Amino acid sequence: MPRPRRHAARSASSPYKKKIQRVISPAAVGGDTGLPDDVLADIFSRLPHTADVVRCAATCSLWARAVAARAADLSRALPPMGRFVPELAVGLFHQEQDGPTPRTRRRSRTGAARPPCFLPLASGFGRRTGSLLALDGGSGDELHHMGPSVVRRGVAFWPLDHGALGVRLGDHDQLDRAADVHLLPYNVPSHRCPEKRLLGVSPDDGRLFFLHLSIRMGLNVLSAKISYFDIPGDDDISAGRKESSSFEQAVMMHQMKIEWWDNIDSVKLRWVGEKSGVVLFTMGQGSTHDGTFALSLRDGTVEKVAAGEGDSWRNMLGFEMDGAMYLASLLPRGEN
Amino acid sequence: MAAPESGDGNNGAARMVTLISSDNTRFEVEAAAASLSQTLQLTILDGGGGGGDGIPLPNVDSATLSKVLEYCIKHAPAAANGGAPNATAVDRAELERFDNEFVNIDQSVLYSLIMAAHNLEIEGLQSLVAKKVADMIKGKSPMEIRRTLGFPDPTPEEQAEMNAHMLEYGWAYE
Repeated sequence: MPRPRRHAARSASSPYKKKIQRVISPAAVGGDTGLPDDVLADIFSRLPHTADVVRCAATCSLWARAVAARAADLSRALPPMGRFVPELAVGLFHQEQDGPTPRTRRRSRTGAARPPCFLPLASGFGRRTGSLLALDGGSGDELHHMGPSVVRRGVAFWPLDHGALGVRLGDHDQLDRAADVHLLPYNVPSHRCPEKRLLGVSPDDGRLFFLHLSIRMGLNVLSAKISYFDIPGDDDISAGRKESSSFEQAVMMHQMKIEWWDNIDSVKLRWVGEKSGVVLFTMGQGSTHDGTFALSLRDGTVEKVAAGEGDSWRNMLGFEMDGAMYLASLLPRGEN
Repeated sequence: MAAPESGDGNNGAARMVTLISSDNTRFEVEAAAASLSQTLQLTILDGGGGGGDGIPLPNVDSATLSKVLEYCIKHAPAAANGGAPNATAVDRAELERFDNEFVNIDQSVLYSLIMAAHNLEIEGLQSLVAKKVADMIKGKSPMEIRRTLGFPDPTPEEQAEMNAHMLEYGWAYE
């Protein structure tokens, strides 16, 4: 095969030694490589981990915009974020209340706190025990007393001491029946500790379940007990009640050995993911396991999400979102 | 690689086209090799680039174009075989070795190549250079990425943004 012939031999020796034309000069344009979003996205999509893309987004604001603009393509190209359900980035939001960081100093006058941070769970990213920002307590959080709600088929449920409170909002034009409210009783005496109970909806069949934590004596491990509600006709919450305890299933967390000096009172259930079946809970300082944990109800594995301060976070909310949404959220503050 | 042949070299079989770089250097190359560029392919199919005309490429300088053509010439035979299903393992290994060597180049040349591959739509070359840059930045912190790619030092404000990001997205820095 013939080589290309150069008619105007301006530099007969080696073309590569010539002065390189300044088509793109990174230094000239303030950190920008001058590469268009298409090209940047092509590069980012070849990175091995979403974590690499997250760091690229921090490199300069143009790159952050490129990541956000191509979030959907990137999330398809990158390895799955989710460990529990591959297409979902399961994780938790926590919100800093008052931290003297450059960003919170610039927060708006309305007093809106800094937006929540997302902390994904996925062992694929490697070790995840770095300590996170310590959060100030701040004012009390009223909803905390009632616990988080779960919504199933248009009915919101809250776990109370003696049963699950179900509230179905009525139609707007039927003011006399604005809401349908029922207490679905538990079959066991009562669950008075608000921090050790949660309601959830099972990812597989959409059944409402009650979850509470206890210590399995003998084995001395933490165990999550799940019992389902039986709702006749599936929509009539007035007759709903919890199935008998023989239907209760227990998920043993063998990694979570509880020692006699552990303060079991410091265990707090926080959230159940209805797509992933992941439960978030925290344990306080002074216990063997101090931090924030994710339990997969599917396989009983426990992953430590964060060490340390998770227990003191008041504003913590689990979340499930797809990878594209996560990448799109990497834009610097105040940009759309 | 090998220096351009000074002799005639025209065996009469392959059709040649002429490409003209931004600095007016003329490159004569087999149409099959130039056609790896999606952008050029249509022009060449229409009979362009032959004779004394030449196809002007105002966005590509001669140093970059000669590098691009080096790639095209090496990859044209395999591409002509439709992805070379009958290529031997030796051929593939040779192409791989060539590719690795090919992107082992100065960073400014790499940037020019990225843009040229993008403008000329040469798919294989686009992947090759994008992968090279991805390899350069993977596993690095934002500051290391900036240094690697020769960005200017961050302003105090940019530095503060980077620190805040590290706190906020701590999981991505472990």
